[in-house]
Amino acid sequence: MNQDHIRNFCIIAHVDHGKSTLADRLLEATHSVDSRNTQAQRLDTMDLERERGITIKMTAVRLLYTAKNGQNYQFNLIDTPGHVDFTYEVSRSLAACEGALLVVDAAQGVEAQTLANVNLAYQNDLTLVPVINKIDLPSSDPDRVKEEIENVLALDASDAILASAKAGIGIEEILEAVVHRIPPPSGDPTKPLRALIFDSKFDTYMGVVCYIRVVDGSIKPGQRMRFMSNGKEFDVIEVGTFGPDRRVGEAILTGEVGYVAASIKTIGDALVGDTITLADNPSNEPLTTYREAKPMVFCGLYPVDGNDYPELREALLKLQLNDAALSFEPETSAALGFGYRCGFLGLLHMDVVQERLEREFGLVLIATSPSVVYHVYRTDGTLEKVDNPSQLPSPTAIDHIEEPYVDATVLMPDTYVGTIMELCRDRRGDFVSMEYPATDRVMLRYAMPMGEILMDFFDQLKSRTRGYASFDYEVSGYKESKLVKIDFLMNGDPVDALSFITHRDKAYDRGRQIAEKLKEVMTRQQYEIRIQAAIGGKVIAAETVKAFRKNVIAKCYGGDITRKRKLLEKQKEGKKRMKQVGSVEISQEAFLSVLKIGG
Amino acid sequence: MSIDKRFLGLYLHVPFCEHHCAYCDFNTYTATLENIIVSQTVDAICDDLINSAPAITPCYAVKSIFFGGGTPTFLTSTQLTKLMNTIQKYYDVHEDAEISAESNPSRVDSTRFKELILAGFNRLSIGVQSLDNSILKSLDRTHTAQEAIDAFNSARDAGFNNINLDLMYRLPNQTAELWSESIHKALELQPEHLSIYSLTLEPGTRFERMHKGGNLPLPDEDEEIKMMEYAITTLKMHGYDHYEVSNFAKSGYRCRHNQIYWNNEEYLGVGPGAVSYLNGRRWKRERLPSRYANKVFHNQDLTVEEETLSKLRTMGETIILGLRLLDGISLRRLNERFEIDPMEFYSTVIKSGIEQNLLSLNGHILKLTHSGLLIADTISEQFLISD
Repeated sequence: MNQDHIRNFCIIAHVDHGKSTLADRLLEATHSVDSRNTQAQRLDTMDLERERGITIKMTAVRLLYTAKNGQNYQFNLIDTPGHVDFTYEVSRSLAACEGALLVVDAAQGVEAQTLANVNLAYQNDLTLVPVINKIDLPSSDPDRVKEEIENVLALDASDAILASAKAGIGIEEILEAVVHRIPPPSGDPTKPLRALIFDSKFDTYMGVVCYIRVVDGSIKPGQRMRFMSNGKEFDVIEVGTFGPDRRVGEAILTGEVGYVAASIKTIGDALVGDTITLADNPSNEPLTTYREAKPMVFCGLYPVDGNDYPELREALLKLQLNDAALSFEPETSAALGFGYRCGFLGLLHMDVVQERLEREFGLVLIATSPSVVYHVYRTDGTLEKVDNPSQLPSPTAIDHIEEPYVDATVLMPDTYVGTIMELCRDRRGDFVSMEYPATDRVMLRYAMPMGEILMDFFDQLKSRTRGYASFDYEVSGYKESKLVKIDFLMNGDPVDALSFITHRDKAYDRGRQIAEKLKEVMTRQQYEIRIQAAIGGKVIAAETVKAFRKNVIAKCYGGDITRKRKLLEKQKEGKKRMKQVGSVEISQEAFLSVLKIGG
Repeated sequence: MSIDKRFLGLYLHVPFCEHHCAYCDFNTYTATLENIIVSQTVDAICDDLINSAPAITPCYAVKSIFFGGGTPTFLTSTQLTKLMNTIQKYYDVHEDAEISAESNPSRVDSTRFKELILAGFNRLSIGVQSLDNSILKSLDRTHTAQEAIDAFNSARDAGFNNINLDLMYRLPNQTAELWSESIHKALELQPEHLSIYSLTLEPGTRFERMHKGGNLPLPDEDEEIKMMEYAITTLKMHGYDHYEVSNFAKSGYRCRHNQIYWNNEEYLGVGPGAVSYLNGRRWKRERLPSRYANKVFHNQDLTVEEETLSKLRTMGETIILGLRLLDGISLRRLNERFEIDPMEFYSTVIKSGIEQNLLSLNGHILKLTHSGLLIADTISEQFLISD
């Protein structure tokens, strides 16, 4: 198709603002899918995505649209992951577009995540078409939302499209706006091939499938392609598009979006953000500087049943096929035995991986509390990166420690400003700015240690604002902090997997809070359990879980026998999910309690 | 009665009460005697007994009969007699069989009890629970302490010479003093048997919801244990033998029917929701009286739940039941019954139990020690086997 008739765009929206529903409507309106046969929300392919209402891996679909002017257009709709953990991937998929539909909920208004994604869109020179969605809701207030879009996003909202994806309102207007407001791609067909990888997936039959946007030149089967970041070359086996079903094609031309399969075995070879060129007529200018997605959050994953260790490794390898950002290394814990230290892009990424390991691979796991990567400068001048608190060198060997900081943005109704400022202060946040983007709305910016966000910051934020606050962050760099490690002991045995690093000024409070929390969640056992929190060798807090003294069912007659046996069997099964540490059995809940320290 | 017949216990469930107490999760429904469902259920139980007999009577002799509930004495004497006559007619009831009925202290007098004796009952179990009026009230019972005492005396006068009283501890607002008072008042009556139950908060009961809501002031674990210890010591002093976790009897008056359960022996249960255990199969009948009656009248299968355990799991179950008996369990007899040497099979569990002074082994008799008894479930859990 003529390059002038191609439109590459994506949809930017906060979770639940209706991105997937809008995508469905666009598919239906362009007859890409039959609305009667459509499964709700076609673009989210993983069950987990549909359940959680988030998009983890994106997909690109090609739609054919006949505009009111009678001309045919090729639309490439690129779905973007909607979460802060995947910012790098979002920015790469934005780079594959010329424009974006900015979907904002007509009742909720602009959220922090929208702001972050709009900033990414600006960085990629995208044309934004604001769409105010859910205008059919009684609580909708399009005028206020327009004002907010202008104030928060600095975007002209006078020609924003009023729509309801659910009710099918404004869909045609959106399609026409894509034609007339989003520019066509501007690449050069005569130049050597340059194609951006904005996603890749592992397929059992085809190997790694790269989703690409051809910027200059074209690509077709039989050619030898080369990844510019690592110089690796492969023979192109197949190219095509998704519409949304896979359609094998002859070539992907300048300005077009599609997929390439080239018998690539490992996803690590075809990294998102890399540029593909041809081996016999290479370009030497990559499209963007390629950046590896670095894990920011680490935790230990241990099989409850030590025999599952090989299965855990297999499962992690399988997940890694489709997830280049997931890293893992064997690790041993004195308390938990053999496991893996896994690295994730963020907390959501971590949750998703854990859940998939349990759900898809049937593993029963204990996850230790997540940690950021600390930069530990030893007294001998060397730098050590520590992502596991139990590996922190002894205090005498440490000159100083630096921890990662983030720029955090919180958007909320103004009534909650006080409580959120208090929360941020409590989490060692440094106030940066406060703005009023619209009546009753406040935007706060803080510089905060990333480690503080790992500790139930989201939960606190949501509960303190009854769910009305939205939050986003971007890693900004490292800063020196006075950090110490808190260890926990159960009946005198250190439980290395419970150790965590925190600021010196917070250490006593947190040690005490967590010891109390542990007391609450530890299952009472036949023996008394002494819980101690310690810094260095010094105990800073202690709690005791009393032994249970009586455990015998009062009545056991004919009708009770089955029930009683099943109850005891269940108890016995429950104990299998606990880890024996010294004389004490510890449940997963106990490991998680370190994170739940409240305000 | 032919010599080679096996013994079984016969349980008959009467699923009605005048009032549903807030702590109770038994299969029972409040109704009035005039309600058609009551007479229908009685008819259905009779038919159930008749239908079940052909499979039982050729091979089994009945050594005990237990009318439980609900409240068996909710029914008229005529209805109870009808049920009893059906049993006598269709089953091979041993002449020395223990025949018990549960009763509540309300709506009973010596005439009623005489009728029960005439019907063939020779043991009575009265749900007294407490002999303190304030506790009875907070326990949601509808009778007074005096009514309970009167009920006992009427039963005695009528001729019952084997009477059990149920008492409960760990009750809302109960103090050690109130508990000791109830025990002593009960002892003055000189029953042959006492069942002493710690209150269990059963899922789905009003008490459980109140407890979750923080509205049920129960004694704590230490107080509960003191109450239990007090009962054990006091009853022993008065000549009662503590023979099961919650049961005490004067010599010769242990409940024969209930011992069938703790020995994991066979029983037939008739009536709504009754459980049977025969030939290794345990099954439950339809719980809801109307549905039960309907199914009986249409000759449909009454089973709603059933299980048949493997030999190993049956052995595990036999041990968890047997350990409730203070006489303990004979490993030799287990070996004969299951053809597995439990001493070898459970050597680790038994050894560690003995080391911790929770179990004792005397010859081939394995039993819980006094401290083991308090945590019987924790210990017996280790004997369970999963397939």
